[in-house]
Amino acid sequence: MQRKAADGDAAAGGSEADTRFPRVAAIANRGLDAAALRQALTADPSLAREIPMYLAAGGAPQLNDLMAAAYPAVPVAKPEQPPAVDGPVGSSAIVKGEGTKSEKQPTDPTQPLPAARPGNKPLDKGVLKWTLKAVDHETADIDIDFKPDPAKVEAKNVSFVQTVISKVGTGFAYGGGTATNPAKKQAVYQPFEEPGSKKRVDHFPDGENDPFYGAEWNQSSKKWQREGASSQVGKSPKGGTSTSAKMHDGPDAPESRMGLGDTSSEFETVPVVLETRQPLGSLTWGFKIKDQANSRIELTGGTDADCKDAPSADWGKTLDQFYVGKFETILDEFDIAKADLKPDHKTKLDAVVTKMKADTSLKAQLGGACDLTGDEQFNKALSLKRAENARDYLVANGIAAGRLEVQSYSFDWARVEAEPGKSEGKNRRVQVWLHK
Amino acid sequence: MRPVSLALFVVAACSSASEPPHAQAPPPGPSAAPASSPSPAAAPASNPTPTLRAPMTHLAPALEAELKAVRSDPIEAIGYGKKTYRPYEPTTGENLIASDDPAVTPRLLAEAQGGGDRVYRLAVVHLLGMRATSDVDAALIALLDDREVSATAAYLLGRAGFKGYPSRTRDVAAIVAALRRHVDDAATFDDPFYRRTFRVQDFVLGALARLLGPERFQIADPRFDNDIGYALPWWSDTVRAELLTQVRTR
Repeated sequence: MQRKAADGDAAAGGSEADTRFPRVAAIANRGLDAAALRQALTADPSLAREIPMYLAAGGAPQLNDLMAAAYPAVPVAKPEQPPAVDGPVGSSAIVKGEGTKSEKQPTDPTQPLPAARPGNKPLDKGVLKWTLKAVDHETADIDIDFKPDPAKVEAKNVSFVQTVISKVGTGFAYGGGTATNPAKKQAVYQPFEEPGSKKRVDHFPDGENDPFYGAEWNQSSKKWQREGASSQVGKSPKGGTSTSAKMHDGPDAPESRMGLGDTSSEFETVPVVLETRQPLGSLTWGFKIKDQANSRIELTGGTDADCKDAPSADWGKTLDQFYVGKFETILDEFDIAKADLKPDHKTKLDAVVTKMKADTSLKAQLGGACDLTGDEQFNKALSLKRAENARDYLVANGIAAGRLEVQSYSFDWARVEAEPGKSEGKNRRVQVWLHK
Repeated sequence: MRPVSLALFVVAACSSASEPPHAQAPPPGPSAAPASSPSPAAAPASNPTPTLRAPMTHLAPALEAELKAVRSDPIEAIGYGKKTYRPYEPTTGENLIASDDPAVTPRLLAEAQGGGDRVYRLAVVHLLGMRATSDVDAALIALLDDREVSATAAYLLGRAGFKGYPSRTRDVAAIVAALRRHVDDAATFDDPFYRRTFRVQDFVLGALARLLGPERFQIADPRFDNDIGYALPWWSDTVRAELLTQVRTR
């Protein structure tokens, strides 16, 4: 397997890129002028396709400058119109592209990409490393690694909570948007928007029930596990050696340069201890694309100044909003070491019964959890019992058991920030996730 | 091919222009009604493997309404995912995706195999690929033989289990074997949702790389590990040639 670029490789001068793309490296190091570069790429167009990958892998940045000189941008004042379609608007007529990303990319495919933005910054609670880069002119890419300082952080699980706000023109854009309506699925995403900032936790509402980017709950082992091959759940045992939390993201803006307005996406990525909700740092980053033909992608953030010890105030509010938007209700403030439903829990569950009877396609996941006091095995059983009691109440009120799933998160998922060993009533809970 | 459950038909592929009669369906699902005849696309003459055909069973009104909504504006039914690793995100059909009704997969397959609007058929295939039931893979494999939707079927076979696409009980060996038969398909695929043109084989190669494990490949592209099989196939001729060579030996 080709080794993945280690963080910091890009800053070190591109030896990894040279190895991967020797033909491009030969050109970069040959000392060509702009005219000679154009001549070389005209003679072998496949080289031009490799250059963005070479630069994204941290290749010699002077090649980027040389590309800019060889292929200067053509200023275009008039916004590019949406691509014409055969037939009436909204029909399913097909417009053929030219092989890849044809009408979304600059018309000059050799437009240079912005230089990658690598970083490696020691913070109060650990070291945050990242590489932000543009893959092409509508796609950014970031790898983030946070290694907790075990002298300052005790954690079973460290992952990330990422917030996002995406705009097209004066409006917002969401997953599920289309070329004619970037906000087509606004109703699905809007419940997660923090009312003030309009930021939301970056996740897929239709399939994910947790706010973590890089970690997902393993239903069988009852533990957090990495969400994909490019992520890793970190840990920081007391007095031991810590393991990095890692994540990768690849946001894009497919509705750019369509006459809909400038596009932008802003992210704040925060490493967090899953069992305490303790934030361990912050990195803001993003990209923007002007609504003009031939416009280049511009990276935003991702510098040392954008990496901080603590997240923004928006981040905490946005994470709070996730719980409001995601769960139909949260039964909290269970008595310590007890699983008995309280009267207000039953009132909340009555509303769930009404909703599930009105829409028989709805299913419910009942996730029990507890605070950070007590023995692990006891707490696992306790949080499961809380969820089971909620399930039994729903069944007793006419909801088929087959529509209900119980889950036990024990003290591995904190809804509100809490210190180890301290009791926090809002974490002694059953969260009710209604979904199709 | 793994045994196919539920109300999917198994029909031997014909080697001439005439279609064999539809096989008798197993008992339909709970909401199924008498089937009308689908108009499936003819299987390629060179394909020696069985091809699934599905009955056009009626579904619950809410599900029929979703199909109608997709049919009325299929290009708007599949939106952008806003992530390279999730380029497609349905905008309608959440009940069709989530329904436990065993008639849904056969019906979606029948719609996808039916004639008519190609974009509608592609939108239906996307919904099919997001379902969690164990009969989905067999349906997608059947669609690999349909030139108009084969690229999307291949893509969806490769990406189950990641970011919004459910894990299914799967016979990976059967899926890989089915995909391998299409690895040389250099036909073009016009993606109406992105308005881009790809090669069918690029989706097949991406799915195979994902199913076989990206770590088993040596590809000189920094995006390979993260995105292969999930993202739209962005690779150069060089990467395609490398993939093609390596996929034959993995």
